[in-house]
Amino acid sequence: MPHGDLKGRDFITIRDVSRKELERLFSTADDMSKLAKSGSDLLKKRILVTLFFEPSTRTRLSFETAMLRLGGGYTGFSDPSSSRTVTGESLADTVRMADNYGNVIVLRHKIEGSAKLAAEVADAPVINAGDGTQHHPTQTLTDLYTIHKEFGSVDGIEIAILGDLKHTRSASSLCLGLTHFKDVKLHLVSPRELRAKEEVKDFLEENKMDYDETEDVEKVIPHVDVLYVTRLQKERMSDTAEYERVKGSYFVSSKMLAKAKRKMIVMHHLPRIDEIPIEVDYTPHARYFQEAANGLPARMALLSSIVE
Amino acid sequence: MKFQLVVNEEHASDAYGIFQNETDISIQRRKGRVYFTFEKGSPSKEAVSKSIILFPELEMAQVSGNSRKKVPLTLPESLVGLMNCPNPLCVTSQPKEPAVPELRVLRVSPLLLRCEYCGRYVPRESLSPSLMEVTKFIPQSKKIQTKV
Repeated sequence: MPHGDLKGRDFITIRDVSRKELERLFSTADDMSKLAKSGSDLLKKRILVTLFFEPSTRTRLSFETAMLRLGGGYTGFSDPSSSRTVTGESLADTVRMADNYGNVIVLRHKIEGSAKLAAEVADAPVINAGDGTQHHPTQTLTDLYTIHKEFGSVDGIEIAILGDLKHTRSASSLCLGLTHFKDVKLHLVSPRELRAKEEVKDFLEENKMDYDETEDVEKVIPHVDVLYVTRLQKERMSDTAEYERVKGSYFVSSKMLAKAKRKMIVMHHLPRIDEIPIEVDYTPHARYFQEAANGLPARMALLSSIVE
Repeated sequence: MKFQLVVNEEHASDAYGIFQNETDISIQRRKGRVYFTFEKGSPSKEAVSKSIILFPELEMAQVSGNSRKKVPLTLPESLVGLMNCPNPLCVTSQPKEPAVPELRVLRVSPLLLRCEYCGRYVPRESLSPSLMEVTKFIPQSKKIQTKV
């Protein structure tokens, strides 16, 4: 059941929670799985405000569903053109208004640091649902929970993160989240142009993470327990020329997976474009739909732990 | 006791801009170097911090009569409202948002700064005097009461 340590706290980066708190969230998520269909009244009369300035399917729907399953309600917008931001209202003013209406605010915005600013101006806890290329902590909570469920622990796993590591916030955030755990071996696999940001790699080094960089996914597939695939973030690239240079530069096929360990899982934050063809869905390694499904109990666990 | 800041000739005009509000400065040029001597006391901390950030060759010294002693270059742990983040997608770069630029000093030499909001390093090549022109209102407290 929810624990009290997180009550009223913001969730801006995955490093805002300790390992112990993460593990308690995993345990709460296990409990929430039982309530994900039947529902509960744990957050009765509480309101979630969703401020989505960027498109979202899974994150927004799972937050809204999580709040409904916990007995609460939600309001907000998924299309900023329907809000006063089109008239030039600042993010800070929008957040201040949302703060008056709800018990928790979930924000997604393309501006980096927007969630930190929102947390500064709001009294209600703020949950970052993605800010630019920087953080996506609830995706990472879902990803780590999925790994924990599959292997019993995140400690000791060998994982490769493949794709657009430069622009994908789920990848950066997962790198940060993995540093909570022991004996993790991490391979950062990407075309040279899409390598992880120096800030992320320095953080890994500061936290003594065992990691390397390569462009060859086939070299690492036989060794890893988890292959985490990302899509090209076309919308965050500087121009179409950058996209054209790297388009189709990486993918995973069922033939490549023939060399994988029997229990290796393939994850993806979704949506995918062409980096994982449909044929992979039918292999025993595909776990991305289960990963997306785990987002519901993971977010129920987070909301029930944070909302007062 | 006088303070002296020394920069290369190529940075002289940028240094004039930083020291324009300081008083009692004498300027000498020698061998491609420009010596700004503060005749009465030391320059403001803000001017010193900006000089350390902008001029990698900066030398600072205390001068008394014929003796000249170099002073180590130090920066505060955090630079709040001193300079802008060069990342146009950073929330502190949005004119309407009340996010005060805040950069953490990770290393003085070679200089390494990281924005506390967008988390990005500030690349050496992005540093320019225009970055030092912070025009945002800086509130005493970032939190404004809106509750009814």
